[in-house]
Amino acid sequence: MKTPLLELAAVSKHYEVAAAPLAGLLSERPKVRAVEGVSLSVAQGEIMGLVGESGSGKSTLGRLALLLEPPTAGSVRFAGADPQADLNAFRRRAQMVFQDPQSSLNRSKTVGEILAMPLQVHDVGASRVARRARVAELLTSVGLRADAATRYPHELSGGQRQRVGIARALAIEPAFIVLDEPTSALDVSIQAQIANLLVELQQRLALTYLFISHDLRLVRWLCDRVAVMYLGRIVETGSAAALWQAPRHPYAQALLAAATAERAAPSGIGGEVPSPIAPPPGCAFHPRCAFAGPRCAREVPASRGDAQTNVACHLYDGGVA
Amino acid sequence: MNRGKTIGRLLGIVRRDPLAAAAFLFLLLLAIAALFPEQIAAMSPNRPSRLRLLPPGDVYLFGTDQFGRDIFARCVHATSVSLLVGLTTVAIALLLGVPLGAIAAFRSPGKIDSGIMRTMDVLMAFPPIVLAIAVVAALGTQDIEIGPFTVPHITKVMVVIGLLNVPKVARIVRASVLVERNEQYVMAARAVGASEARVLFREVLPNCASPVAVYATLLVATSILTEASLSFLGLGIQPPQPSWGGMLADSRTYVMSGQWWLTVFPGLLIFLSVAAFNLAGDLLRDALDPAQITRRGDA
Amino acid sequence: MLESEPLFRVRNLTTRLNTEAGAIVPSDSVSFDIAAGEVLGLVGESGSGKSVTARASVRLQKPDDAIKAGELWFAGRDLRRLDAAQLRELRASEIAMIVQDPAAALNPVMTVGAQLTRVAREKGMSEQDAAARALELLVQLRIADPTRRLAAYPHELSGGMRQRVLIALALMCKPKLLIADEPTTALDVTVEADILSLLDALRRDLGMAMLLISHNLSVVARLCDRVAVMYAGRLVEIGPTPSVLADPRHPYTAALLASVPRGAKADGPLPAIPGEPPDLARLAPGCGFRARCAQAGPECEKPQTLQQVGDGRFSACWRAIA
Repeated sequence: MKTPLLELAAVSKHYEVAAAPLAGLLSERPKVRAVEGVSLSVAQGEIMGLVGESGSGKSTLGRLALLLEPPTAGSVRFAGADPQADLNAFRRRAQMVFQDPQSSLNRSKTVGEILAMPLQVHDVGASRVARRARVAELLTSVGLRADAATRYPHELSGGQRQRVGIARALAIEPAFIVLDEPTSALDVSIQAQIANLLVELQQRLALTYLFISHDLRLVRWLCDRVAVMYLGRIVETGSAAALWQAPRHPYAQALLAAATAERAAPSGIGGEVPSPIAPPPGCAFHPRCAFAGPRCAREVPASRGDAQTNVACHLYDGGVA
Repeated sequence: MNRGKTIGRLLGIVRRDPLAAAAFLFLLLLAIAALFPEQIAAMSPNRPSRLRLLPPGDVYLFGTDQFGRDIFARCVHATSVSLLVGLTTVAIALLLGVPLGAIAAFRSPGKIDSGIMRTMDVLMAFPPIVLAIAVVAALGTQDIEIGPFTVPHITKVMVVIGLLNVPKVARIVRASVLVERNEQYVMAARAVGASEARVLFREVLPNCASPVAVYATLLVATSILTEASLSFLGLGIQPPQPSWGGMLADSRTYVMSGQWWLTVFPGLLIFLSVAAFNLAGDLLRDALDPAQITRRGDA
Repeated sequence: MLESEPLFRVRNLTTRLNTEAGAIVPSDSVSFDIAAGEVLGLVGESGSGKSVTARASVRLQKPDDAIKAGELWFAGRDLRRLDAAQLRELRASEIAMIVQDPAAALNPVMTVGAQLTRVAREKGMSEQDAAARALELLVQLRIADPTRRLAAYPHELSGGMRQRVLIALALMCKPKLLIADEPTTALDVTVEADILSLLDALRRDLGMAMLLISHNLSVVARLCDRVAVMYAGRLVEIGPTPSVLADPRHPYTAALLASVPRGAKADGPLPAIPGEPPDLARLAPGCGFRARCAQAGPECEKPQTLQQVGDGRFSACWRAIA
């Protein structure tokens, strides 16, 4: 087995609900359980997919992996060490690409300034000239012309902006990149261009990705392994091929069926995603699950399997009765 | 932001909008009058003469007042005081208001944010003129000696008006930073490893410059008006030093008896300079946002 | 295209918008028919002009947009000749519209029930009848606990639930044509599946025609009888959905279909469409796609029009016609 580059161990993130004027009088403030006890490992050179619907906590998990937010509980390890020990060094090795290329680029800076910023922060490139050369090199590597450095973000198309966002993440030669829905704000005909660019860069620069997406087809095409999240927990992890052919968790099955439907058919999971403030007891999916039994409402299913392949469902752990 | 482009856009707007051009021209004239009062007005603003209450004419462009002083010279010399008060008070308000508002927004929600903003709310709750009157009344209209330093009365006036404007600036800054804080480029800068100070001052604040600059320009107008009100009430600039508000106060009794030039010229100057600063503020808003023009073009 | 007179007939619809970047033509000589009970999908990327076309076809436009249409017939009436009041009347009763963002389309200070009954009351329905119809619709739309939902405000509902309420609002007056502009784009895939199956059931039960606007080929494939593909303000292909998706006759349709990932990892790069969609303000005559088309030739610089290329199939590529 390859050594894991990123290891999340029982990571949780709870947010306190915005304080109402009299909230202090209540004994305990309600909490949003955005991420709840997630363990995940990403091997060196691997593309790990993270799928789930809105409110599943997948974007929060991405930010926790980069310590952009401190986890409420659990630990994050990077290359076998605690990244908190030298956060600056960690930032040089772990980067992020954002969903909305409009919002993720500072509108009052030129593309050149945006790309030079990481270099300045980490004191890369001794001189102005050296930095300018590096910016030009970055632009070319993501398929833009070097003279784009003088442009403002609003002068670029959505696809070009996302290329700038990718170039910024690459500026300080990281080993690991969290990609938070990098193609979902783009037009259909541009999505494939960006997906191809991401694969090409990953192979050429030996990068490791955590790829967050709701597009199952793209995840299958791009990723080695996939983790499926529901209401803050990982319900199933497995190879992309296995999850595509034979998902085991009922939620993963419903997600795949909805994503690959050829005829208009109901998703088979009625009702609504419950509130993460008061998730259902036991398995959070049980109120919508066709296979649920009494045990599902009582007991939180433990994740069965190893770090590579696992599922958290009573169906595979002694039955639902 | 690219300064050359902003200036280019500003020139473009001035060319398209004659009213804006007039406003800028007027502000330019005010600035010249403030910097070189002696060169512009030949007469002394304070020397009385026997030629009292002369109507506007060739020698006395704006006429003379009840002490025979040249109104034109007084108006010109008052310009520097009004502009000085307007600009200094806004500078004070920006100096304190920008960091306070920015820090409050960056620490929001939390104790620091509520601490700063509640203090601002308390300051805002005072009617500005009444508070200014109270402070001036408490400190007197004389220059104050603090150890070896002499604090002129005008400095007190500027500090008071400036402090009263801090909450307004802080609120504008806090509101814009709160909006900007949620943009993904802030997260991107943090992900790259930029320090909080760098994120706040180099990434976020430049994007708030446009609303703040616009507001500051409008605030210059309000401050000029506040100073004029205080001087009118006898609490601002002290006679014999000329000020627009003070000139208005001195000429009150002549409005009814037909000597209109005593009130009209200082009044007109207050009106025009306030209007010009307001117009300039609107212009600045259009000129400062590089994306605005293109964004409007998106169908 | 059809033997009998269609419910909705649009011929040579052209709109011109004046923007600061210059005049653009988001729909240029667009023609299509929708038969009673038929679902037509209008597919295109952002900026292809699909939403503008749909709105202009029922004369919902901003005041300064110029619309020219050769023909605009709906249920035997010439929409070009109706005045504003008659159009409003028609849109209130026979043509309904649902939009992408249900949060913005619902009134935040009125309960769901009040919004539903108000629509029906304006049509002269009695208070009791309107309330009964509202309840009936929520049941039909498979909204759990419908009586409680009628008393709820929009912000108390989830995105999927709001979209159902919007559909209910559109169906209150039993329209003959429903225009749905990206009705599931803001929703999660499982909710999307539910809404699409709901729309499918509704059109079968009510015999309602639909114009479904989407950028998502998989959504169109699941719901539409026929599909019209737009690119740079022009229709480039139209035909029955299964045959268009299986055998596209326009290079853009083909390229769009090919760029959707279908395979597993290491299947090689996706056949992406190079370049970017053209700027509508700087559109040259001829095929709008030719700058990105792998098979473009000198012939493509001539204006291309939709021509029949098979059974109910039309393409605007001269290669498909020849």
